Order: sequence, then structure tokens, then C-alpha cells
Amino acid sequence: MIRALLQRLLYMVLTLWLVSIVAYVVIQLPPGDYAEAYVTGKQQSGAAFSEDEVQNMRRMLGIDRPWYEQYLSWLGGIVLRGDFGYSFEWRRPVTEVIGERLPLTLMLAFLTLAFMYAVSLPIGIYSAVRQYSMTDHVFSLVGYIGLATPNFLLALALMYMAQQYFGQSAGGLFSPEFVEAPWSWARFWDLLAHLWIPVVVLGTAGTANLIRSMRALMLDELGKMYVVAARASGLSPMRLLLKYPVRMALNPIVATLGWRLTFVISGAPIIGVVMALPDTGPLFLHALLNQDMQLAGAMVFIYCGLTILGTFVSDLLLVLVDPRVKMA
Amino acid sequence: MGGDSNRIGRAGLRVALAAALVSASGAAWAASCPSVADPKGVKTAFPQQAELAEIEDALKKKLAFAENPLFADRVKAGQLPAVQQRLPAEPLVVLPYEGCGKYGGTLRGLSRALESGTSEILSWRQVNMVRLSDDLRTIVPNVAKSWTWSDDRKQITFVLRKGHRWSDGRPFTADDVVFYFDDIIKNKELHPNVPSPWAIGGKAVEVEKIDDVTVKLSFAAPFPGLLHYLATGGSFFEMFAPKHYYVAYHPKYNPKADEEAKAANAENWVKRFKQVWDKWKDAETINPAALKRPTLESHILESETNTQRRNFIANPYYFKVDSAGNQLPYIDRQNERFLNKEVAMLAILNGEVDQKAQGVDLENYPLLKENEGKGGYKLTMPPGQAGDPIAFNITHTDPVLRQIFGDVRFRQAMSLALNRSEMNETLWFGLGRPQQAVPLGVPFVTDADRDYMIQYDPKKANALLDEMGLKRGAGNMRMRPDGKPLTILWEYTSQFASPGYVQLVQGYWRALGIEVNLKEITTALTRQKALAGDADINMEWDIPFEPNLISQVELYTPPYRAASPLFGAAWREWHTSKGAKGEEPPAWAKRLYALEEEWRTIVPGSPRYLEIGREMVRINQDNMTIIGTVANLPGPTVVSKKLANVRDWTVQHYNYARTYPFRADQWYYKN
Repeated sequence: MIRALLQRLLYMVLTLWLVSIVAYVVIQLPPGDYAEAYVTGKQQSGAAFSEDEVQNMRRMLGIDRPWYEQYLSWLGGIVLRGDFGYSFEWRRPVTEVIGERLPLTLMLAFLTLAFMYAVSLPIGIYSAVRQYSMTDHVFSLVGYIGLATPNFLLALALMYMAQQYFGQSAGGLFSPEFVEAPWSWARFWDLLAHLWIPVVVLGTAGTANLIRSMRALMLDELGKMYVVAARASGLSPMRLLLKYPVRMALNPIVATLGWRLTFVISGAPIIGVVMALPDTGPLFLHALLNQDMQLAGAMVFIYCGLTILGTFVSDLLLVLVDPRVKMA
Repeated sequence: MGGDSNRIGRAGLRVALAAALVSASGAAWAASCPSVADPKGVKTAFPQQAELAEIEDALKKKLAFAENPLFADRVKAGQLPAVQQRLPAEPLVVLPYEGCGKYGGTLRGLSRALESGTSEILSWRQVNMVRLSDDLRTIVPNVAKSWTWSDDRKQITFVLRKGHRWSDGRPFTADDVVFYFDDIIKNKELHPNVPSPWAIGGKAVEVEKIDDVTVKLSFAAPFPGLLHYLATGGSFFEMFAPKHYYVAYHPKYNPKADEEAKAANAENWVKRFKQVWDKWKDAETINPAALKRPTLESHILESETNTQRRNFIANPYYFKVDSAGNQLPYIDRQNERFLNKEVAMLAILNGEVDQKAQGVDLENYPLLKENEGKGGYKLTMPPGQAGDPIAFNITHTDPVLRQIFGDVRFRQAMSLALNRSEMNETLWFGLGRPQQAVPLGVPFVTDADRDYMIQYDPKKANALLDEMGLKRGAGNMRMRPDGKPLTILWEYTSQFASPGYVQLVQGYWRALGIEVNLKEITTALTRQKALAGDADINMEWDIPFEPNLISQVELYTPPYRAASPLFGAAWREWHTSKGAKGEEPPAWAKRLYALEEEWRTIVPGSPRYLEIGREMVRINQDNMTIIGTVANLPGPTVVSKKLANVRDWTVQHYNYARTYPFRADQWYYKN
């Protein structure tokens, strides 16, 4: 067991390293660099820049060196000092920039996961047990709509409604008066009033997906002989349902937890950008657009790290849920 | 909860109390407040503002200075000197638009990100030596009390204000100007090349301190456009820096600067210095060190900037008073939120923004108009934008295309083929004016110039192309002289053209028998192609306004934009290297270069200035260098109805320094 775990960890580190190289290369691929992107932005608003100024800037930022030199010095910083580098755009260490926003990203991801499971499992079970009932059809319809609606569209629609009908402030997770305020019940309430939109938006597609899977898996189990036998032996219906078929059906659901986390985390940047959330999404997009290399690299690093971690956790959970699965 | 609103509440109460006291002591306060609306017979040398002595003479009494109650506690506690000691001996007296205002409130603004779309908010608080008055012509004193030119316009002497202080209370003197030039601009490590415009005539400007409040700049060649530069596009780059603050980071004054930089995790002193100093004043405020960095601006950084917002608070040492002696600014705080375009629109509709114009697209006009009442703002439409121009690459690397694009008849045909009124209606709600790419706001452009070859005339266009010998082949499409189909590859970027725009134009040109292939690429890529000289069309050019035509005339001579040449980059090289490198330009381009050089030395507005301007416009038009589409497009501008002392913008553009001419430091909240 320990050995298997250690092996896993080693693979995880290896994957992370490979991902970091790929990320660095891919981010470098488009033409131009941070200095170029910066100048473009400034010229867009009307400021004039000379070629000399652009050159000055490149030298200043050290992006006149070849990419592998930049990459090695960056990776060296992470390995030796735990230093993720310096963000050109925010003019601060990357750890500081991300640190400001990472907690919210994680909170959002886990809340969404919780939302997804809390909503989809009961509905999935219910739909299977009451197959082809009116309620089953309604849930199915809602599920298909949820699956088919693009995230960002839903986000825009909900945001517009929240603004138009509830008079809620646009963008961000707090009303302006609470942004700087210390924590209090009113602030917490304000947070909840804003937070439900991204959670719903991020969770909708996943929830619909999970409902369908749970329903199908349950239907498979419900017809099996052991269920019939248990029912014949007089076990109460609820107890029977939860103790045997549900537990069996959960198996694939748990196994996919890893990539559900990925799904939520990779979906989050789009929502974060559309809704101007103070999470890492907009930060990531900006970093990519501006080729703010060290920040973008660090973000890819973190996103991948979370995904790998998610897979790892789901493997562990699987061992716990299903005694037949062994770590080897 | 709501710490901010509480503070504002208390401040508001104090204002109310103060107002009650004032009204108890008689109406003298309000009565002796000459404003733009009611000057009370006061005539000033410069519009809308005066020097202290000037206003005291006119009012026949001394101004008594008063301050924002925001500072009262700190003054009482001895942390701040009294307002009389904080103001310069000769503060600048501002005549407010409507009347002397009330203290308090928070001005709420939006930008896209830390360094994206922020110049508008910077223009609320920024200062420089001089400022552009809202007539958009007169240069008026600001940080500088006065200036004198030498006769040859090679030297200018600025007189500063005695007793002017930085926001930390330390004196602002000529040393801070000299430091800026000698130790920042001319420092070889910080600036390997002296940045424009400080190397006029090919040599770095010489700066000399005469005394504490007098400083002289000497240029190698005449530079009469300097003040225009400082008042408009250059207003964003103040030409002074707090020496006492920066010496700690500079090796000339602190031999340990490099070691200290390394200890602070920076590679060397240069990198550390760039973290705390930047040409863009708002870029400095990103670093937490900016909380201690002194400034002369109306508001100073209040809390550490994060990735969501930036907050400012009134500068207790700001150097201006209103005409009743109250220290400006009236508004306590300025808050800037970073939001993307879509959410920014929602925030505006929601009434969460007090002033916004930069980056608000014309397409949002109906939505903004519809919500004007609900959002509690006033929507105005000042001009300042122009429909995107098109420039063909006359010096294409492909010899056949070069021959075709290089023929002026081709470019004329392309201009005549555009149905500009249709473009105006379809793309810009009919709000613009069809027009060629001539400079805006200049006295030497006539209506004939604006209308030159803008009429929709496909017949004449076809005749011109036939005359060139571009024969029609398969599918009635035109062929190149080498027999291949004539195809224009239009690689555009969404930064300069919408898909609707390029499709319309594609249709007009196709109707002439010219195939146009559209391809959207990134701006960085268009720039690379333009630099390599193999782009067919480049659109990265802004129609110049008078202020930048004075200080950056090269916007109107080939290659029109050095970082992204429209065409003729090699011509410019030939010209600057005196024929050693590059490619010899045609006679008309040589003439433009000659005019450009003379123009730099001419006093704006003088007869010769008008003459040169006319000739430059004429040469560009005769050669149809850049094809213009529509001009005078308005930019939606939103101002909260709660704000007073605000006038309608007469222009909305970076090159007029955005809000700067409209004096945000004298705005106040009615309630």
C-alpha cells in the first residue's frame, strides 16, 4: 500500500514536470511576447510607443533571452526556493498574486462539487426508482436543458436577471460596500447572494450529467437478482435501496470524481471571466493573452496539480467505497 | 460592517455641520466664490483659473483657506500641519464651473485591468507642468506657475510654486525636475536610449536648476510643441519625480542600492527601481511601496492595490484651492474597480459608476440611453472616435502587388468604391460623418479635403481600374498583369475592425471585380507582417488630432507608425540614414520628410504652421496614402447625476488627456 502510494506520488511529480514544459512551450508559441502585448494594449487607448521603449522593456523583464533559459530559471526558482516567479503584469511575486485569489477558486470548486452531488444523487436515484413517471420526465427535461446550455450564456442570463430584478451589483462576489468590509453576517449573506450564480452555472452541466449516470447505473442494479432476493426476504424498501444498489451504483461515480474536479476547475476560468469573479479565472486569461509567462506557467502548474490530486483522491476513495478494489 | 459607508456618513455629517456654521456666519462664503457660470466680474489671465494674487486683487480681500473635514482629526492630533502650511505660498485658484462645492463622497470608476483602460481614471487625478483648458486650445499653468520661452524656442524656463509640497509634506523643488531628467530619463541603465520626446534634435535635453523654483530645459533644436505635449498625450507622464524618495533606490545616491535590491529579491537595482518608478503613474500604484511614494496628484493611494480594485484618498497637500479658498479636491476618495467589458456595462446600467467613457463602445448607445433614468446618469456623446481607415501597402515585398497598390489610381478607385453613408448607417447608427483620413481639430483642413473622393462612385472606380489595365478574366474578376487573379489578402484584427466592417468593404471591392479574402489574426501578427512589409493592408493607425500632430507629426508621414508601418518603412530608413540604408522614397515622400522637420520647429498657429499643415494634407490626399471612412464618431460618456461642477465633454480621447481638461478635482457630490 505504502509502496503503491509512493509510486503514485512519483508519477504525479513526473506528470507535473512534463506538463510544465508543454505549458511553457505552448504559451510561447503565439507571435509576440509580454512587451508586445503591453504595447498593443497601451496603443489601443491611444498612447504612442517607440520601438526603443519596447526593447528597453524586454531587457528589463529578461524576456529577450531564449525560452528555455527563461524556463530553466523559472523552474529552478520553484524547485529550489518554492518561488513561482514574478508576474510582469501585476509587478508582484506570482505566489502573492495567486495567493490572493486561489482560496476563492478552491472554495468555488468545492462548493460546486458539493452542489452537484447533493442535487444529482437524490434526483438520479429517485428518477431510477420512479422510471418514466411524470417527475422522471421533468427531471430529464431539465437535465437535458442544463447539459445543452453553454456555461457562459447561462452566466450572462442569470447575471442580467440578478441585476435587473434583484438589483444586485454586477460582477464580483461582494456588493461594493462589502468589498473592503471585515467579515460579518451581513457580508457573509452578501457573499451567498452573489455566490449562488457561479455555483449554479458551473454545476448545471455536471449535475445534469451526474443525474443521467446515476439514473442509468441504478436502473442496471435495480433489476439484478440480489435486489429481487433482498426484496423477497422482506427488507424495508428504503434500507434495501440505500444499502445495496445505491452503494453499487456509486462506484463509477466516485471513480470519476477526479475528472469532475477538473471539469469544474477548467470551467471556472470562463465563468470567472464572464462574471468578473475575483478568482483565478480572469487572472489566467489575462496572463495567457499578455504572455505573462511566469504567472501563466504557475497557473497551469496549479490547475494540473489540482487535477492530478483529484484523480489521486478519487482512487483512494474508490478503495474505501468498494472493498473489491485493491491498491497495487 | 460597511466601514467605508460609515466613514462617509460621518464626513457628511461634519460637512453639514460646517455648512451650518458657515451659513450662520453670513453668506460671505458663497457670495465670494467667482465661478465659470458667475465670474462676479473677476477677469483672469487664463480661462477658469487664476493665481492667488490675481484673485485677491480682483476680490479686494485675502482668501481664507479652509480644508476637507477628512483631515481635521489628523490636524488636531498634530499629524498634519494646518492647511495654510500645507498649501503652497501661491496656490493655484480654480474657478469652479457652477459654484464652490461640498467635501465628501467617493468617485467610483471602472477600468478593465490594472494596466488596461486606466488612463481615464488617471486623468481624474493627474498633474503635469501645464494643462489644456477645456476650450482644447489654451495651455494654462498647473504645477508650473509660469514659463518663458527663448526666442528660438530651444529653451524654456519653468517657474514652480514656492512652498509646493509632495503628498508626504516634503518640499517640491527644481531638484525634483533635475532628478527626473538627469537620473531617470538620461540614466543609461534605466533608459539605454533617451525616450521621446526628450531627445529633440538628436541630443538629450539639458536641464538646469536656476534656483529652488526655477528650472530651465535646453533642447538641441527648437521644440515649440513641448507645452502641447505636456498638456495632452504627454500629460500622463509627469516630468518630475520625488528625489528624496527615490534616492534610496538609486546607486548614484545610495552605493548599496544594488545589494539592497538583491536582498529584496530583485535581480539588480534597475529592476527594483522599475518596480517603484514608472513612466505611467498608475503603473507605480501596483506596487505596495506606492503607499509611501509621494505624489503631487489630487488623490493618493489609500490601500494596497489588489487584483480587483485600486483605492485613492484626497491628497492633503494638493496645491489648488477654489475661488473661496477651500482646498481641493472636494471628493474624499476615488475607487477604481477592474471589470471586463460586459460586466462593466451592467455596472454602469446599475448606477454603480460615477464617470465612464473610455472603452464604452458606440454599439452600447441604445442600451445606455434606455437605462439613463434607472442608472441615475447623464449620457453625452462627445466626438473623438473615427471609423477605421485602410492603408494599402505601397511598398509591398511582392513586386506585382507593389506595382498595383503603388498606382495612385488603384487607391483612388478603392476609396470611390466605398459606400460610406451605408457604412455609417450600418456600423455606427449614422452618427459619424463620411470623411477622408485628414487630421481632426486643425485649422488647415477644409471641407473639400474632408470630402475628397468620398462619394460612392463604382462607375468611376471601375473606369480607373480599367485605365490601369487590370483586365477581367474568369467570373468577370480582374487579373493581375502576370495573369493571376487579383486577390487581396486582408488580414485584419478585431482591435481595429469589426467583422461587419470588413465584410461590407469586401462586398464593395468585389463589385469592382477584385477578390478579397478575409482572415482574422492577432494584432501581434498583423504587426509582424507590417514590419516584414508583406501585409496587403494595415489598419493600425489613428487619425491624428491636433495635439499629437503638433508633438508627433510622424503620424502623418511614412511609415505613419514606426511600430506597425503602413508602408514606406524603408523610405524612412533612407531618410534618417541620409541615403546610406533603406530605399529612396518618391519625391512626394521626401517633401513630407522635409516638411516634418520644419514643422517641429514652428510655433503652433503661426502662418507658416498653417502653410505646412496644408501642404502635408494635400500631399497625403493627392497620393491617397490612407483611405478614410467616417469621422466625428461620438464616444458614449456617462456621468452620474449626483455630481456637480461637471461640464459636458467636448472631446473624448487619449490625446486630449481624457478627463484632464474637464477638471475632476473640482467635481463634488450634490448630496
